[in-house]
Amino acid sequence: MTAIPLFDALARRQSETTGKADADAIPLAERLVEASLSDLRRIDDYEQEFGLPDFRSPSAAEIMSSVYRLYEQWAGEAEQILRRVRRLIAGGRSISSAAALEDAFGRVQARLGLTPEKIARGIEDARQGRTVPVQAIRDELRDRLRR
Amino acid sequence: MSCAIAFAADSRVDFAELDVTLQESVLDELDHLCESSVPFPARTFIRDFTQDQADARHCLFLRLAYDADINTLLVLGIPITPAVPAERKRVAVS
Repeated sequence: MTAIPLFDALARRQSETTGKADADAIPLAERLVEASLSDLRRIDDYEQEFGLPDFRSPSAAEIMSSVYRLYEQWAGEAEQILRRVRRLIAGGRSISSAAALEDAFGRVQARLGLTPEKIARGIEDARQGRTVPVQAIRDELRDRLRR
Repeated sequence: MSCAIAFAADSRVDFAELDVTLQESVLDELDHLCESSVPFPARTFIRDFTQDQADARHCLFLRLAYDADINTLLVLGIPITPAVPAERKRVAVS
């Protein structure tokens, strides 16, 4: 749950009178950023404690897929917050921990590139021994650099 | 600990789509992990790091597993990562 609608209401109220973001909108934006970072820390903890199964476990893909959904949901909410924070920063305001949230969002976006389907395929490949030694990959990279 | 490194077939395809500089970064990171004295966890684990280039910051995320039976670090997945544009990168590192 986030207080984004409240933030929007505060920002709208002041912009109608002075054209600037409401003074209350700044501390609320900072609270939203902190709450989002806190949510992410909790999801990270869940993953560390419960979401990293042995790849041979029959439920490995399902567990990792569930954790993926948590990060996906977090990213959707964080993006909403960041859109508003970026607008405030572009208007000359300073929002504490905005950089930390940008960084965290980037990391989670990278993680979300590895979809549950891909995780499942990687696990199945590993279980079935469908793997490629790193030396073959290095050789390919060397060939690519020579071209 | 020292160990072999292997890519799951599916992750190799994703790796091939990465920029060459990022490929080198991933291989360096895997080497670093294998040379580390810290034992690998018994479960799957994650390694993420950032790579700054001239106009963007790339977040790299590796999903890994260690197979003790064959003393091999397995790369289960590497997503194709969206780069953070330079404008946002400035915010991110300021």
